[in-house]
Amino acid sequence: MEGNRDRRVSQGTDRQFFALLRSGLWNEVPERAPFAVGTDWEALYRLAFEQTVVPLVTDGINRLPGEFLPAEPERLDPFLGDLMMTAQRNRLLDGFIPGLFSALQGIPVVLIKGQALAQDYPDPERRQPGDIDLLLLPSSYEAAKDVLLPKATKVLEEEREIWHQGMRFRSIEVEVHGSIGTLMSRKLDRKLAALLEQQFDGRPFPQVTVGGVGIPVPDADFNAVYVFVHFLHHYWSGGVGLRQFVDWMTFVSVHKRDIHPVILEKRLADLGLLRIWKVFTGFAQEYLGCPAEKLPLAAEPDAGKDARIWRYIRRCGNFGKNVDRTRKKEPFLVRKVHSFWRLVVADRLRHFPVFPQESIRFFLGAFGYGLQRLANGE
Amino acid sequence: MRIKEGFVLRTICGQHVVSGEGTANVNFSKLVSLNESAAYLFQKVGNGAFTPETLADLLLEEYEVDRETALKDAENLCAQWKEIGIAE
Repeated sequence: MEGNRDRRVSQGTDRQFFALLRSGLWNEVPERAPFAVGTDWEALYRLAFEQTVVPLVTDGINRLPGEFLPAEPERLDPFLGDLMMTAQRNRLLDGFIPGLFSALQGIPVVLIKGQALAQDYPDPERRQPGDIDLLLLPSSYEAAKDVLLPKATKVLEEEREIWHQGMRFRSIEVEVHGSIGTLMSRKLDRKLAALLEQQFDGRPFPQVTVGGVGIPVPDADFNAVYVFVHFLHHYWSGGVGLRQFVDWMTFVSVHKRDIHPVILEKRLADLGLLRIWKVFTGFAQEYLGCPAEKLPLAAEPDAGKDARIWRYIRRCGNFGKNVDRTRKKEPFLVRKVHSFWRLVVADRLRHFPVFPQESIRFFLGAFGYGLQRLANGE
Repeated sequence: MRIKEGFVLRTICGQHVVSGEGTANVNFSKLVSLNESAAYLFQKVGNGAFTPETLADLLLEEYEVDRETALKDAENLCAQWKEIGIAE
């Protein structure tokens, strides 16, 4: 009985959450019906926080009629606090980026993910930021490190095998990426590496205005695939928050006219990701209210698959934060067996009903990568 | 006394909230909610200089309150705004 009630409360919160998120995404008045039964504001905040979309949800709350707002206004303080902090943090990061690119002048490098994608949000200050991500070719990787590391206040551990170097400039974290590999399948990663090479073939990059300055970003055809693959990599390998999904949906819907459908379809088919793309376009329509005509290569939503996708995303939270990962004190082999079970077997079993063929393909791919890492003692 | 540059009043979700929007305020990490009368005063003073007496006069224009109470409230508010860091 208790369990049923919990489930009803949870479903009610989910409906309210999506009504508010859709309102924040599309600048619409939120649907009222989900709020008629009362609102558990704490549960709503927790869900928005886990999915890293608090400011968008707060925009939705802002559009709710007064009768649906809490009688005690302080119950909205967490939402308002996050909204303010997010805006400030975005301004801080955006203000830092022009100097970063100025320091890297002469090195072919583009801004990817967070601060670049935020510019496509209805209000760029509503995207909860993380770090600043730079993408370049492996051949430029050392040159960028040579420029940036002496200026950094802290150098983070390098992940050489994936050409990844993190560093901090006081409170700002910058990540240099020389690869867009996923560790999901070697074949997929080889093809992505070829796409990356193509992207840096000497043509000028498009620019977005960040911090009042034009900053180079990848072209829309590349970015549509890259943002999707990045989201998918996290979805497949341990957890993803809706923010990353929203990043992808927002980017492709805003840039649909710049994305060549034939190139996109060919690339996705070549990477073996076309079917997955189509399923996620259904989820974007069904749960986030994105009109089909705004999505390249949109397919019909599948209610059963979409519900499974949401259950998985909800369970994991952003970057798998809802899943127990506190096993650092256990012996090496125990940890390996556990992470193998959870990341390679259990999660893929959950993906199987939605993506059967891909689950097998990526199971084998991750298995190969996992064996190599085990052999290397990583 | 005046409101520091970059601090603006916004009404979000039915609440009056002061946010630091200038680049000088990126490290301001407080949520400042104002009640109706404080929001009224914040709007009225804008970028101009003010004293507790100025605020008390504004309160007398808008609310039915005696001068002594208005001045006491205005002094408290000035002290709070200064302590929080939105006025100087």
